[in-house]
Amino acid sequence: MTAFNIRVAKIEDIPFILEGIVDAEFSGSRVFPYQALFGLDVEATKYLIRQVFEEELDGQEWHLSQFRILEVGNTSACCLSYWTEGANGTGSGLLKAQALAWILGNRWSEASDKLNVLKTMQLPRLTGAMQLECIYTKPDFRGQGLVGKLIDHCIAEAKLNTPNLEQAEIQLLGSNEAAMRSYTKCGFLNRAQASSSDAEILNLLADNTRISLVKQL
Amino acid sequence: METNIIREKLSGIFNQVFQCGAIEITDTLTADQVEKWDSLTHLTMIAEVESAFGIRFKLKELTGMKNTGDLVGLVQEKTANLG
Repeated sequence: MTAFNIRVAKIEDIPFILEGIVDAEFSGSRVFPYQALFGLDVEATKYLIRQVFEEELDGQEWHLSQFRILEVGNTSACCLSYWTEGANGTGSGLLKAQALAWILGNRWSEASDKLNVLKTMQLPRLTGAMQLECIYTKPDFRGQGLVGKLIDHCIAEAKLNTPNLEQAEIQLLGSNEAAMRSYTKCGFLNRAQASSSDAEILNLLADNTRISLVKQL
Repeated sequence: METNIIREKLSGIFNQVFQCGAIEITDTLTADQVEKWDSLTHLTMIAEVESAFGIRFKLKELTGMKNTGDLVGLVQEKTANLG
């Protein structure tokens, strides 16, 4: 087994985290949602996400202190972000949308029709459940079970800080079969899924189905 | 600006954005109690409020808002600062 170390993310990790977020947004396809929705290329999207990080909004995925990094030697191999859904009374979807709308201004308003299409496959996250997002493994380190180690570590850490946590949830697109296999190995089971019949959805996302996987803690 | 005037204006905006008919703006009103109040319509409502009152919220103010009472309070504070 590869030796590894897991730690809280630092400012210097942001480029690696952004690489992971962008990779997750592509979700193994050629469709880049931020290009399709707001006309932002990869670099502009990274800049946008950096701006959200700077706002330090608790309770949504793009907050540096919620990221954990798994290192092999001195190399960052995996990352993920975790939080408790709705812990501050507001859902992560609304918090993230508020941040994006506030930063993007007119670009957000102009995308309202497309955002309404995305709404057709919205899957509400479980309030009070641990949420895991932005899960990424660098290509060179895939197939070694490292992401499972990172997930297990984060669940143990979250349970230590919040002993009454009962569930952990991961949401992903249906087309992301490799990730789904990996999470199933970690004990996650299919809880629910939402599919959109709007043909426009495939111009915005890699798949028209969103899946919620849950693990009982 | 007096809170009853703010509430009256907000009621009109809520009716227009959430298509909820005449609605009483109480301090404890939240998204859970209005059918079409979701993350997207919420942001449309905020944009309409900013335009109607000539104000601009900070991001931290938006994310700290827990109910309509908080919204009324913020609008009152910001319109007072307009002089």
